[in-house]
Amino acid sequence: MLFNSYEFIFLFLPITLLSYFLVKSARLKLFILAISSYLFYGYWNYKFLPLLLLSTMVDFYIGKKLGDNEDHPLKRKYLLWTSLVLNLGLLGFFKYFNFFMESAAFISGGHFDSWNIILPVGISFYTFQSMSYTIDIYRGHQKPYDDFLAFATYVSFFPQLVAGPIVRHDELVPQFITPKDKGRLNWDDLTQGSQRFIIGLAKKILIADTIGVAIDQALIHLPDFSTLEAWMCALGYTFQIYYDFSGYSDMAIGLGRMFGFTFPENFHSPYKSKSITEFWRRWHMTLSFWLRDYLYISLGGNRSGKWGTYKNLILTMLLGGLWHGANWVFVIWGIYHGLLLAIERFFKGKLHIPDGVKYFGTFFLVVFGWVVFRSPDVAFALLWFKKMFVLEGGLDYWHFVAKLRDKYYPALLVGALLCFFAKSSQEFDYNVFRKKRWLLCFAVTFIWIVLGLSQESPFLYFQF
Amino acid sequence: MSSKKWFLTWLGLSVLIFACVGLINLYIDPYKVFNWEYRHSFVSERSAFLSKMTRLENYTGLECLILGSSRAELLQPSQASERSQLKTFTAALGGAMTYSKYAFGMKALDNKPDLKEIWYFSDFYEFNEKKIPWSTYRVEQGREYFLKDELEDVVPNSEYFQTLISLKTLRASIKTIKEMSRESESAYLDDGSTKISIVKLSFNDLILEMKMNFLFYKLSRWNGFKALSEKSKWLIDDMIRKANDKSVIIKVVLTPIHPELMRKLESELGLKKLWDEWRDFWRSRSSKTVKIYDYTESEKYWKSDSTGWNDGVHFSPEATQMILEDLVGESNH
Repeated sequence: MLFNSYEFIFLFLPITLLSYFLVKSARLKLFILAISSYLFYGYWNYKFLPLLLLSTMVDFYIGKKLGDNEDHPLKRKYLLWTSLVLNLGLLGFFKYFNFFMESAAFISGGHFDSWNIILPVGISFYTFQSMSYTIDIYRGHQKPYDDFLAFATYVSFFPQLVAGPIVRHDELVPQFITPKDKGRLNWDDLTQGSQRFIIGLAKKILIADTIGVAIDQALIHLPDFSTLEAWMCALGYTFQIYYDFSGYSDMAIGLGRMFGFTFPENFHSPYKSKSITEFWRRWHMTLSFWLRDYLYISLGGNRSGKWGTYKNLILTMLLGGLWHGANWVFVIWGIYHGLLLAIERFFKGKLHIPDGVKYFGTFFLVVFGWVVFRSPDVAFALLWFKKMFVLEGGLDYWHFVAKLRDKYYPALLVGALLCFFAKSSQEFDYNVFRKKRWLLCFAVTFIWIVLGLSQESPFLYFQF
Repeated sequence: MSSKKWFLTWLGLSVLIFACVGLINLYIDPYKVFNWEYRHSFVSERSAFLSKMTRLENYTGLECLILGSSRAELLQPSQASERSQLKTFTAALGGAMTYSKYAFGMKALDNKPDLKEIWYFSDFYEFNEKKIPWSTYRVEQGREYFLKDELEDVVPNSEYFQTLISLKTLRASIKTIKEMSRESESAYLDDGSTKISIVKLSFNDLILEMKMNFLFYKLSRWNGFKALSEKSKWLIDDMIRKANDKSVIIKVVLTPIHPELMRKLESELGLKKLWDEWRDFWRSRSSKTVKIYDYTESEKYWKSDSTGWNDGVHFSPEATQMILEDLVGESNH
């Protein structure tokens, strides 16, 4: 079920909200959230519900056992490894099995027929969330929770289950155990949550999808592209992925807020960054911080000397890239960003670059990364770069279907202007939106979007 | 304004507007798919399928029915009537797939006692049908032919609600209201024909036009084309059975595409095997009452230059005339 679908907006969400706020018992409220979340996930494919439940139950149990064995370091290590092996094993099998086997076959000169493995939606997100719990208990940063229902709801909570933000257990479980105002309806939360949801919906539908439809159709003809078209697609995808993903995050955060829960922010105007380091503090922040806390630091972080730090940065970003998908383009994209981070670290404080150049340079370095990220394979990416940098075709753009192109330009322009000059969603003063003119604006935007919801448009990050 | 007031006002406003949109669409029913008891009774032009079906119902003395897509639209029923001496109606519709051709064909077979011939222009892509378009299935005059066990699971009922509160339907309703007040000229004549203008292309422009056509067809008509639709086959066979019962001859035209476009179809999309299966399907149906006119291989008629083509898919008026001559049996194929 997508957030931008009739069944979610007119059926699932109203029923869940009403059920949640009509019951008085906090326990029952939690139960309703858990059931709704499992129904939400099961709507996509009920056969994968046991997997979600298994991951949840195992990590909750391991968490309890870790707490019971505080004085047995070896046992704790085995328990932690069990959690890691299970979660990474699930991820590895469903997401990477075919990739690794095909790569191994390629290297050895053999052949491998891919297995028909369905990737469970959200597995990259919920396994990471679940693992962070056992790792934190192992490190002594967290005591095990006693409340299985609260933990299960945390892992499966529908607003962030399938595409993040990656919420830490200590950010959400306490809110479930002791909800604000005992879970009573808070009009401020409901209103501001709705506003955030509509902002996210607008970002996704009006900007991301409009650009996406145009460039998806055009990219099929990359070999015949002019230089202009290659750049149109590169810039288009840069804004498409931002508005798609940040739009989803806004919706997720807005939905959580409607129920009275606070989620961490996931984006903070990333294209306003002056460096790649800053970019990763503004883009998909919850993933960045997860990778920093559970991977980079575990590898040694910046305590491994200069070259060790660079190695750790590159390795972390490589794995971060691989997390996005089982394809060499994601590995290359990850290594690319890792190298940029390492190079920035190397030159830190040594070069004096004007801010304008920093903004400009960072933005285009990110654009080049997105060209690789969007490509189905390395050859496609190389061809795309060739089309971008070897001038040909003049100002031809006939591969962009006219009807879509006419919407692509305004969407790109508005998207770019908002990216570079507007505040990010969390910086808005939502009290301002309580004025009448904003009420009309939100109502018209919401109605316009819902009336136009005639075709399914999944979120890009669902595939991760 | 307090948050509570804001939220309730926004919710109330949204519900009110959705309800109004739904009511307008239900009342005007531009595609004639809701058939609410209190709906407006005028005929809407919004749905080409609906418009043609209504005209077919009202057409008396029908002897020859043309079924096809935009490729058959150039064949004017008045010319066909004159050459064949059969009173002809064209139910050719741009983008028509098997389902809509089936509905027209069965409607004529059930209700037109004078019907003697059906000229069925078969397009390769019509066998890529996955489900009946909701606007075809739900139209009153089409629905009766699709309520069959063999065609279950082809239409999701959730589309009902989506169509009811969709912007597209609202635009169609508004256009219908405007046309009501202006009494605008219909796009279709009583015999189903449409006013079409042709712009003759040079060979270079034709090649460019074909490139764009290929892009369009690749993403739509030929997208995900893995096998000939079993449901399309069933529909055709059902229509053939009925035609045999009514002693109506079906003349099937296997429509070609430009050799250049055909080469791309083979090399880039790998659809040669399906293309051959499509032709074999029809050839296997050839009989005394089902005559096949296969133009797919004859470069004699379909030259690689621009003579026979309007673009890589649509024939020129000259080529259409050649087909007409063949169908009325005055020239050898």
